[in-house]
Amino acid sequence: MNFEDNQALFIEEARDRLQTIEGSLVILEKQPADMDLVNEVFRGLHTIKGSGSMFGFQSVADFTHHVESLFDEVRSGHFPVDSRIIDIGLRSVDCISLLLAGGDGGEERLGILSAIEGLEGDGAGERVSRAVRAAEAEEGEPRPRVTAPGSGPERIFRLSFRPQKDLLHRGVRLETLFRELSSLGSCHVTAVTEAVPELGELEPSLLHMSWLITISTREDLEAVRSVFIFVEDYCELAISPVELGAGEEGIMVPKLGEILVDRGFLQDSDVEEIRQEQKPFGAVAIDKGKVSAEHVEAALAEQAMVRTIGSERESRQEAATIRVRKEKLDGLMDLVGELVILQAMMEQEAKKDSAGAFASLSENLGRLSADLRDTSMSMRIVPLQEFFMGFQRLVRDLSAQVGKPLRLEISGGSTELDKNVIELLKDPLVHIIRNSADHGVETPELRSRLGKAPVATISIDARQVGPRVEISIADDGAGLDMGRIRERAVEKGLIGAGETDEERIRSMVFEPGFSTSEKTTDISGRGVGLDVVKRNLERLRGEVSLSSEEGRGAKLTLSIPLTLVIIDGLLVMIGGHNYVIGLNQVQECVDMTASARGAGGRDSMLNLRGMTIPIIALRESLMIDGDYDGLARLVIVNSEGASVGLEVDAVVGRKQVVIKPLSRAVSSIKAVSGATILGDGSVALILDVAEIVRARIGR
Amino acid sequence: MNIQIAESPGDLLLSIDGRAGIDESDELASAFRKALESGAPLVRLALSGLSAVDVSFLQLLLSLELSLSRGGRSLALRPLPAGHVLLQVADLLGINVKRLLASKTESA
Amino acid sequence: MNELRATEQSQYLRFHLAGRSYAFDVLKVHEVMSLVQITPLPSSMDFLAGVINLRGSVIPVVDLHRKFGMSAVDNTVDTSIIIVDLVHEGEATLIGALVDAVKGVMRCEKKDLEAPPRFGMQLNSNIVHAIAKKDGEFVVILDTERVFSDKELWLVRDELGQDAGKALTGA
Repeated sequence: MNFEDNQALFIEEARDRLQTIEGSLVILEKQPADMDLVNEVFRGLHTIKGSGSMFGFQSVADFTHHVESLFDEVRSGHFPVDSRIIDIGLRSVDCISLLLAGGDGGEERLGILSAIEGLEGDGAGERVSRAVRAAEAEEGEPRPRVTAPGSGPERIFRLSFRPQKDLLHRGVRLETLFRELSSLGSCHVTAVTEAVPELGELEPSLLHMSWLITISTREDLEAVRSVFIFVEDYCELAISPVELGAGEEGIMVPKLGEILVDRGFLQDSDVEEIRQEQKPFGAVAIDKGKVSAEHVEAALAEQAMVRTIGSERESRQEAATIRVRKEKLDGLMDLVGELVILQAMMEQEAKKDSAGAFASLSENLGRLSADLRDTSMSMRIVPLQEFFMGFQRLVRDLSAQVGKPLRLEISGGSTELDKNVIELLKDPLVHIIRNSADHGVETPELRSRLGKAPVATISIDARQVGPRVEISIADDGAGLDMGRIRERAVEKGLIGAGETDEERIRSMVFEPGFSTSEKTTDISGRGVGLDVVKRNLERLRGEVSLSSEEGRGAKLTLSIPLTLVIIDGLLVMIGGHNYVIGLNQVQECVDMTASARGAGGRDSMLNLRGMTIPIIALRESLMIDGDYDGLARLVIVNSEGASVGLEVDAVVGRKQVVIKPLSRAVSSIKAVSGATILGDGSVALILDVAEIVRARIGR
Repeated sequence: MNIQIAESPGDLLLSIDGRAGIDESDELASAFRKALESGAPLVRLALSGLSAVDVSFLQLLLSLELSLSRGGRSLALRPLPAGHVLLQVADLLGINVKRLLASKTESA
Repeated sequence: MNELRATEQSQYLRFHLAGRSYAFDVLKVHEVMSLVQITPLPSSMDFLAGVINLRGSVIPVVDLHRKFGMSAVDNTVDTSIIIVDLVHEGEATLIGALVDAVKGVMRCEKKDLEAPPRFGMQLNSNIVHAIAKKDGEFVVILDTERVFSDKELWLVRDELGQDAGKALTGA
């Protein structure tokens, strides 16, 4: 990597750090006694200063030095945390960003420096620089950030799996089961084979083995158990978590004898007896016939896993993360995408090969490329914490602008999401938070009168739900004014005056240009409403939902897929061409009935279990000439809360597809959101269902 | 699946090609029994031509090894390429077959 | 290679369209491929033949017959797609051009090139770079940037949608 690359990397890293510093400062303002936050600010500044001078950003380093010194003084208790310190801190963050962007900071820089001087007063300057020298000597480089993959903490489970002898007669493939198990984490399998008889007594289709399995995984017990769901009734299965004993020095690695006793293979008295020998425990135990070699092997595996987790937790303190330019990761993803396509092509060819050697190779390649895809995708996935911290400043500034004391509460920051997705979430979230601050939250006077805490709380929470991430933004304000919304919606002719369905009324706020606010403020209400948020989310294949309780507050929940590169799709055929519909939108597929077609034209309707839903002939939307003379199928999709039937010639089936960008030259085509390459090398278009429905039905 | 038996003084070589799964287990068992009855002190297996195996085949191997060793005889596998399907499945199921590959003297 | 001469002459990829000869500057040609399956796009731009798979990338293809208002010609074994390198608003991109047949590369010296006539051309003289006479026939040398500069082709969605659309497709 050359110097320019390093510089770019430094800027990127410094920006991330500034965001964290900023967030910490805002919280610090409310919790001035929290020394961890002061330390965090200090360490962040220290790093920016250090790497700044290393990469030739002298002005950044020089300026940051002064601010860092100030915070070191705060750290050592020479200055209390007060509004002046916070103010200087926040102004410095802005100033450093300016310097990073190549500006000189001008008067603002001098202003900050003189503010620092003003604080320090007589003789403090010397103290500051002394403190900094000392800090550098003791601290060294601060610890890099930690990123932990997976959801839960790493845990170890012990499994004893004793299949019934006739398991293989039930069509169960143990290989598949074990493969699935090993995909959960690092897995050690020991077959207990002592019951396998000599050939003379062997009934070859019956199983005479059982297994001891130790698995180290981030999944929970249920996930491990679910692997066995199809064999549960035909086996004895015991799963138990291994307690990780934590000592002063981290995790204690248990002795072999302890594990064997814990597993019930040895008595305490046995352990004493074996210890007498003063030889390797395992060997003696086997020699004495106390325990089989397999049991010792399984126990050793468990011991090794505990050790690994222990040392990983330790090294995580010092953490091993490296920074990689996003472009490189994107490049890698593209290559992996191509590999996945190539592998799909190969799989198709392999199906023709009956001899089997090619087929098994192809199967292996398939597994490998799926793993590779998952791993490389996980590299783009980062925790949301840093992103969320950026909103602390926004809320602080908003609070001043709207004249309402506000507090931002963040939870679930360890939830992870594709970096590309995170970038696209920024605008919608800013918009939502502004809305809350401006319209959602009452004035402090009103709040006191209502008996509410004068400081309003806006909270952001994130959590992973299956393959999606849910981010909710809630406030403890007045909630939606349902009466007002209904009034406006009726005024605009969006609903009938007699509408009573609360959900329908609530959904009005997502209508384009819908606003109940009488006055237009700087902060929100400029005619850009929640409809924009909703549309942005749709582009991410995400969904928005809204709940509200009058007088208690409102909550918006955004649900976003973990990644954008690969989707589960439904492959359909229209006019001899393949198209992909995102599976997350598909409700069901039904036959096109003659009665529905009888209505004819664009306005045909289908009666589906008593519900009348509109039908869109995709042939027309996609400008495909001619008619289909077979029995058409309807794909029932959910678009903006309503069911719509899409008429297709045939449904081919489910397929995971890699999304390919459409050239800018054709990005104006609205019915299509992307393309993918199928196993036979042909291109299939991915349909933008929401756009198609909007264009035909005009919602 | 295709099984070939070649006998020479002192050892017996069994070559197995194709699938060796539960559906083939009876046929395999009888081939293994024949090998056992031959009385050859060393039974060698050439398995590189296998395209798929499952747990039943590995169980047969273990059983054959046990039967041979109780009579003071031994079993050896001819070398397999790394990543061979037999090694993969054995690894997955936690069954040690590598010991059969190692250290047994074998004429070329 | 005669390097001295190379500075004085340019090379052009010659192709046929409705029985006439045309050419692109070889430096703008990414590659030439035989006709592959084209997936049609739901677009009102009828000259847009669709998209193809170019080694894992999805590339739009323009039917030059329709683009130039010529009558359509059935595809033959000679029908080819010329992939052209374009730079649009600073972004490099690829676009395919469907032609009847590719006739190979021709060398032209500067003095062999004539400015396009203002009148009497079937094509908008705007998109013509020059006219060359080669082997007794006239070859119309096209300006690739201008051929594919249609506003409607590059029309993008509203700003928000466009950004999101790009991200959706990982661009």
